[in-house]
Amino acid sequence: MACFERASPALREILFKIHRAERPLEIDHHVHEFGSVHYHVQSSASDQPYAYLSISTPLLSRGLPMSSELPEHTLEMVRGICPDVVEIVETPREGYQLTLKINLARIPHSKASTKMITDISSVQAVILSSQLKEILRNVDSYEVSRGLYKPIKLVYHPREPFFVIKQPAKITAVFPMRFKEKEDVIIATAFFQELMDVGSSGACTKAPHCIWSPIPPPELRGEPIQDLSTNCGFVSFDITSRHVEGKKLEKTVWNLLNFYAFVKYHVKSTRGFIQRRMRMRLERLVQPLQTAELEEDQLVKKKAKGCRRVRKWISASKLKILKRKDNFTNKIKRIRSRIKIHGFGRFRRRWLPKFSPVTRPKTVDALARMLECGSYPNITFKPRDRHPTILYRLPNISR
Amino acid sequence: MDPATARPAVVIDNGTGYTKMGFAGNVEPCFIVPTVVAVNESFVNQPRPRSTKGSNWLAQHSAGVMADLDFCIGEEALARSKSSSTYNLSYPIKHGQVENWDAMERFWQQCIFNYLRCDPEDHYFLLTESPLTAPESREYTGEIMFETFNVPGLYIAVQPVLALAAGYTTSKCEMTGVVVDVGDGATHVVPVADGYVIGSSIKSIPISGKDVTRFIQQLMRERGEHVPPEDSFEVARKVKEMYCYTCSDIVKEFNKHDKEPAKYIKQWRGTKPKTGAPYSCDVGYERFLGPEVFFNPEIYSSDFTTPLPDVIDKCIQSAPIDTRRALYKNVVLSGGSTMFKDFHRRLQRDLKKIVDARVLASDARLGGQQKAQPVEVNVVSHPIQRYAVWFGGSVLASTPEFFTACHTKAEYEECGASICRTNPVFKGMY
Repeated sequence: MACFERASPALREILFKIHRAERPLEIDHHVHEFGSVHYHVQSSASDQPYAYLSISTPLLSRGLPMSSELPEHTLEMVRGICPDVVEIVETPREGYQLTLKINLARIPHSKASTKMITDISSVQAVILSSQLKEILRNVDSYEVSRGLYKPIKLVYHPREPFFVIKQPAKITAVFPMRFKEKEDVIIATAFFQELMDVGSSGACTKAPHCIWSPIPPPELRGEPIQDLSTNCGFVSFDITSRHVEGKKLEKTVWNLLNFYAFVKYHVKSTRGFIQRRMRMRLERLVQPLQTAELEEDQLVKKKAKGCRRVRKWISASKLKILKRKDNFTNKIKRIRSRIKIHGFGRFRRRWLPKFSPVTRPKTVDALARMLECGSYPNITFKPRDRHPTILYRLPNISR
Repeated sequence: MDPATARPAVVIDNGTGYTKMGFAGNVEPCFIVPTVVAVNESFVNQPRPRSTKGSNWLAQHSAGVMADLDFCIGEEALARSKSSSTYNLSYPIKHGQVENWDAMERFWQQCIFNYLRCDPEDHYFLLTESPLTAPESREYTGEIMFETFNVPGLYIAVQPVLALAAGYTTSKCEMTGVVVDVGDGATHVVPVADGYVIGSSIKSIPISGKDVTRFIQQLMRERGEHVPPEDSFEVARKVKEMYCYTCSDIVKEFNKHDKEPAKYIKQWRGTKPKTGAPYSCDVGYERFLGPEVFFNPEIYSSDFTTPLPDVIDKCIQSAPIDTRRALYKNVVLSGGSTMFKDFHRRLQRDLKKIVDARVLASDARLGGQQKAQPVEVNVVSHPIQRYAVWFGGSVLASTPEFFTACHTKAEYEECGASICRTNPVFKGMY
């Protein structure tokens, strides 16, 4: 899943394009990711074979105002990516925290280039994880020795701070979850409960232990109230030493940092899934109505054919005509109102109010309205609209 | 102040063949991917289990749900469907219109989360539609964007107007012109006057980029080139993109090829997908006969035989009389299938011929008493023609007025999907 990939797909695509081009390209591209990460790639024909990559990213901070410059250890880590290709420019471009000078001539035109370019495009992940590691290292050993496991508040996206608690045997990461929409809260809650169930089942014994609770976990006692008020509870993961061994460390850190992005992706996917299912269901419901409509049209056409009948009508007396007309309208009424839907009678008995003369469905459209809205006859509904709007149909949101 | 307005808008141009997506303010899109979704449909057509044994039914149901979530788009989808048979390819857009909304929704989801990696709540969105789109389809788009993705604002732009706007920055301010949009799946000739589409004069042609590819495929097959049949469409597409050009005269071009075959005939090399054995084939007359389909459609099919310049002329002649001169003056090309070398020269020459003949005839009819002013014919071509629509969208979305023109989430919640029904570009007419 690309939102869990360290390398940025857009950045990779652009670097590949520059690298593969036979002629030097004029490129000046801005890319935005996760709402607040900003990349700028620049390459010009006059300055070959160099390309410049500038990055501005929200830094992990402990909620305090911090200088926007990158600390030395992070720069050290960045230098570690492909040392002979990437070079850090002394003074970064205005508005960015870091500018890299990439020597494209040194990237070989072979399979190795894929790995190199992927490494370069994951530079943001490198910056972030080096910071998190540094912060964890700097946790006051004094506090730990006295058994005070104070939570560390980390801010990555300004709206979404999270907490890390370092304990002797494990590190606990606590994410307060907040959503703008009510439906999102419901979907996310279901997801967290499911996640907890799966996590505690036998299948995932090696995965970090995951707990979701609607109230703040005891570790967060003493934190300011605005950090502890959420609408979707708290998710916490227990990271033990096994999860941070060797290569796994990088991955774990990155996954933790992007937990919010992942949950958001999941919620949106679920919404899409629900919409698709509803559309399918509605189509199935509307189908009998449409077939009924077709049948009815055919019937009416048959009636309209009789030409002989008209002659008879003309020759008859007025009383007779009136009588016949009555008969005829009754017949039409019968044809119109009796649309055969399998099991509809039972449905009607159970769900629909008794047909009073006023609410008797005259046309198929009216019938459709009754079918769809159940006992909410005052809602306007168009039966030919096959695309469902959940909110639109709910009675309490109707206009 | 909405923080989303501080960020650049996401511009997605969904074409029949390729989707162009990226952020506003850039010159070119981040990604150009084929508009295709590979769906795992192994569970869809299975009969519903008769037995009501709970666990079995549940297992099957959840397997079906999992399969429903298993999909991918773009190049990845093409590669997946080749390597395994559980995936079915679904093309959500046909002839410029969205046919399959489920697939389209999945496509957008992947575009936003896995390609652009942005949260849709953080950005305004600009989508495009063909000029003949029904209002209902615009409503569906709005519903999907607002309900599923919860975007803060949405603007649905009309492709030819964006293509005109793209030309506007490269030269001068000109929002009157005819846009000749030849895409992979649909070809439209759309007159635009002062930024408003003249809806009654839109002409469409059933010949598009895909037909050129099919024609090349047919020619190569008839000549007996040894191209593996399962690969022949792909090869024809690549041949079209790499070697095709527009000639000024077919007969002369045939002579040229016959005199100096070494200079004109190109080699295509590939490997057979099944055995991996290399093969090579010649590319000869296809090089100029492919694009010729637009100028002499009778060589491809007998159903439609009006050449493209004639259609453009008819389109302009059906437009209001006071706009015609301005329309002739600014014929703008857009779409990948107008990228053939010298396409614009040929089009300009043929169009000019038709116009001049008409002027001459009217002069003769008037008996030389009054001379008509010569009509200026100009076919404009620019380097970013291939994604001119996207570029126009990027320009539009980076203006500050864009955010005020958008339909916002609040408006949607207030009025429902009907806000997307009308498009301001058409407002002059209905």
